[in-house]
Amino acid sequence: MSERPNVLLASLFGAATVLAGVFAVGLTGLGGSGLLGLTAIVIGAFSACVYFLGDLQRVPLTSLLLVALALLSFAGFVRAMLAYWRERRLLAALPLEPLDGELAAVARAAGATAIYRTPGQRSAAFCFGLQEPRLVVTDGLLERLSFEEQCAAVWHEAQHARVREPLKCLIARLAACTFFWLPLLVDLFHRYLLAKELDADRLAAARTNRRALAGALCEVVGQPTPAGAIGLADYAAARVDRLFDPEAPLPPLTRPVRIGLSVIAAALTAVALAVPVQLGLGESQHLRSMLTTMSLHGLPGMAAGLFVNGLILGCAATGLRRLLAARS
Amino acid sequence: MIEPTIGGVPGFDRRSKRQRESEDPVARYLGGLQAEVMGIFWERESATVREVVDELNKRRRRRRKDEFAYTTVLTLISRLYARDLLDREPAGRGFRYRAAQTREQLLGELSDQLIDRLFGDFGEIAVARLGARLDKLDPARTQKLKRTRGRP
Repeated sequence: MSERPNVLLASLFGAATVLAGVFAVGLTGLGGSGLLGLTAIVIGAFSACVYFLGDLQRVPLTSLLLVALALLSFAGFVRAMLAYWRERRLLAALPLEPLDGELAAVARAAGATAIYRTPGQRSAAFCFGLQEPRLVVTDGLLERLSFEEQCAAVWHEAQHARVREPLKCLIARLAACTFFWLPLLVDLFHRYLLAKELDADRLAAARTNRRALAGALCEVVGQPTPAGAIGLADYAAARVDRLFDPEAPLPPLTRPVRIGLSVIAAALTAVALAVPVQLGLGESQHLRSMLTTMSLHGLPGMAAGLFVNGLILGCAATGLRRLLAARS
Repeated sequence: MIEPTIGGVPGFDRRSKRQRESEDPVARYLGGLQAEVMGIFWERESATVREVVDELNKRRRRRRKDEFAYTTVLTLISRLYARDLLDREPAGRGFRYRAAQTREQLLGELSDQLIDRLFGDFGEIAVARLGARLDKLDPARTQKLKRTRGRP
């Protein structure tokens, strides 16, 4: 597998575009009323109003699967966009002041248009902005690094800015979050993130030296974790190993289990597309009544069920996330 | 409900557009009025509510704006005190307030909170940072980096 970030991004974007196109064709084929009926069944099943399923003349499993996957993908896309929106607001609130002096000259030489300082004591250097990426370094980082190490950090971030990495990151993340149910695509995304860091590290080490970059990385590294404790440890190890040995092997792109899951997901999608089952609204009396009546088994019941189940799943997901965070 | 302290920064996603886009980074967090009151405390050592009212109204008269009532400023100062941005000590029948930290310290704390939230919750979306993919480095490699750097 290529280690070039652009190749990985193109693969990721290409796969996501093909999938989006395939879904668009598949959903268009179901027609407006068919899509409405299937969406109602998926939402109805989720809201526990499943009694009408037994009354259907035929259960449109393949089409249901297509609609369910499309809804999941849409939810993933919306979630990523909301996270991006929140990130934009946080960045807009960050107190920034233009940085002058020698480091600013280094940033300009490295191809960055603007560099700012923020008065925080955390050690951080980053680059943001889709159209004109800006470099930001914290006062804490500047205080702790020697000038040579500061230059290494700036060269690293300037490389991200020069190739418009924030925009590329957003595209890659949207692709991975939209089709999160395809583990291979998510692994490709993580490989892209690693490749772009290795690319920037290479340039920073070449323009300064390995010692300076090691010093800069030392300051921003998080809490040490026992090797292999979680998957991300492999990426961190690879980044450090490549600093000392450019030929050091990278961790495998994916694991056999994830390949298997991806094959199953892709096969199910293919079947759903190849064998669409049309569903007329008149096919189920209960389905029609569910969409049109205001009784308990109609729209109010469905909305309440959807809310309650959403709440339960949301609480369970939050609890699980906190538990995992506490354990790690 | 008064937001507890600067910690947690809960209000960021609910701020008005005008507040979010303010030129002054303190006003972006506290809002224009509270930022102006904090500005007065940063300019002088300490002040009573009456002194702040007089100073605020002097400025507003210059800008030909409506003056503030004593109770309005008292509410603003109480909120800033509740957020641990002001300290106070008894003075006569009331209190004398002083800024609990300098403007730079406040902005530094704010910046740290924002950076924690930026990289903490979901990871970065459209940001490339130096420490990406390094969050969970094993101790052996951390030591290797430190040795290469040549200082602890």
